[in-house]
Amino acid sequence: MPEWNNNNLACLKTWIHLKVLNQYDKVFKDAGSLKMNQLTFWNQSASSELRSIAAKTICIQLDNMFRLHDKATYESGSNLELATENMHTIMTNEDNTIADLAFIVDDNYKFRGESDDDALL
Amino acid sequence: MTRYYNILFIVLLTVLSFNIYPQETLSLSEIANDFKSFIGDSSIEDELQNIFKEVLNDPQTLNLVLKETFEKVKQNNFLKDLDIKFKTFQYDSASAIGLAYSYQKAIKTSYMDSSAASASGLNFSMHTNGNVVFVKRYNPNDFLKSGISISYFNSNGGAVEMTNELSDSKTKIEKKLSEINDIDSLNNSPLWKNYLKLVTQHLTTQIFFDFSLQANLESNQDFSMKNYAYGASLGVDIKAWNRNSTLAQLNILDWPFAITRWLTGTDDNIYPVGSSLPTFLFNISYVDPSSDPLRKSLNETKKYPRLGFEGAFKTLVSNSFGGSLFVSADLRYFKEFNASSVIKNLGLNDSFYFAVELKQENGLFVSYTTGSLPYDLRTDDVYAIGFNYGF
Repeated sequence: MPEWNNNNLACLKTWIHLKVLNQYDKVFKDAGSLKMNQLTFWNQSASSELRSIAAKTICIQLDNMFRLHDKATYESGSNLELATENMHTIMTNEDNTIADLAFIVDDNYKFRGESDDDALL
Repeated sequence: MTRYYNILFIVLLTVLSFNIYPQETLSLSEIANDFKSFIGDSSIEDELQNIFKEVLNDPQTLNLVLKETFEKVKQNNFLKDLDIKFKTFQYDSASAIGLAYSYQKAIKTSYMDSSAASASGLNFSMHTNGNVVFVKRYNPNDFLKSGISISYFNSNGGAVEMTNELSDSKTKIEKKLSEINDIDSLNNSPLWKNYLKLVTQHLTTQIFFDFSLQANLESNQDFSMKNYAYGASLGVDIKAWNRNSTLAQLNILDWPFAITRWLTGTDDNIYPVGSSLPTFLFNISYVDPSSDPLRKSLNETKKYPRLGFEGAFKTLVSNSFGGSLFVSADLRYFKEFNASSVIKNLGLNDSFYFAVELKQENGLFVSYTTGSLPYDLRTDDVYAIGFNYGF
């Protein structure tokens, strides 16, 4: 299992984008262990169908930001369908963490400047 | 149902016993005897029994055992989307333990358009969810639902493309921001403010909708009342990610909390956020009540169309009370079309449900719920204050 590390671009990008999207207000080191039900989109009182729609909106927006802001491409074997579906699966289980989401992002996206060992800059 | 609870209890007791004493399987009597030699108290076994029972009745313990047991099973691709959890259900002044389950599996998703910041496609999926309480009279607020659906979704807007050079510079700033370990220092740093200004200029309003056709089986938890429902639903989620946009300013639901965020020093100005615009779900179902005993007794078993509406909202109230404090609300309304006078007179033709919750990051919450969902004839108010952790 990879570590929540700011040298991993998937972790860094997942943290900063969700903060910009007002899903939480946390520094990097505190964000990895946050659970999905602690994010703004997760309304515990709402039906799971409605939460699923809210999660899908954010998955597609994250994909927008990875591709258009970060110039990320899909990893070999992944594509828009797989990447958003995998993120959606993580985001609709309240026990999953931001780190879990970042690792799925890492599996599906290749970021600019990302080396094989994920070392950054 | 009590019989099932007892069986489950014995199974969990066995599994937990192995987890606590994996090297040597001691009985409670043997453990008690070990203590007796030190304390000399003959009631120690009873006390241990009570403590053991208390621990096993804690949803957190049950969830721990459940997680340990099913972690490997869930590696299976088909089961990885299954979520089962023990919960404590509260109704009036009584509480009871139960299970919440949900499963949603996208069998096939195909995107038809994925250019720039727009995407649309078709999705075929199956789903099931609900709450089962071991004492069923404590389960007034939910009904079990299983079904299949085919949906068309579309997302437009959200982000504007950056140049490669700008993207590279942005990544370097993000790395520096990630090294700041105090949230106030981060939010007040000029680097963060300039970064936010830059990114905000490249964010737009995202409009997402999902139209789906569904076939569902709805029932209470012992299936003594059940309906086959066919219908269509439309989910609409609009997010004004750019906080300078007109739509963000028009988010009147967020204005009171923009003020609390400003008053408590969470924000340096009054900023209503467009990311907290409510999400809506509209639903039209064709319900078959032939298995509903109440309607049977009234000789009202004709299929009927039913309109459903749900709106949900959540936003940050403050970050200044030892963590993030959120307020969330959910409103649901169901109405039967062309209901007979008998159904109308009994108030069965519509139902209303509203829940609001103020919850702190550490789990402390205050919640208020009123109304009921279909098949629940009781309308009662539940007011709760307490500490909620990982139910």
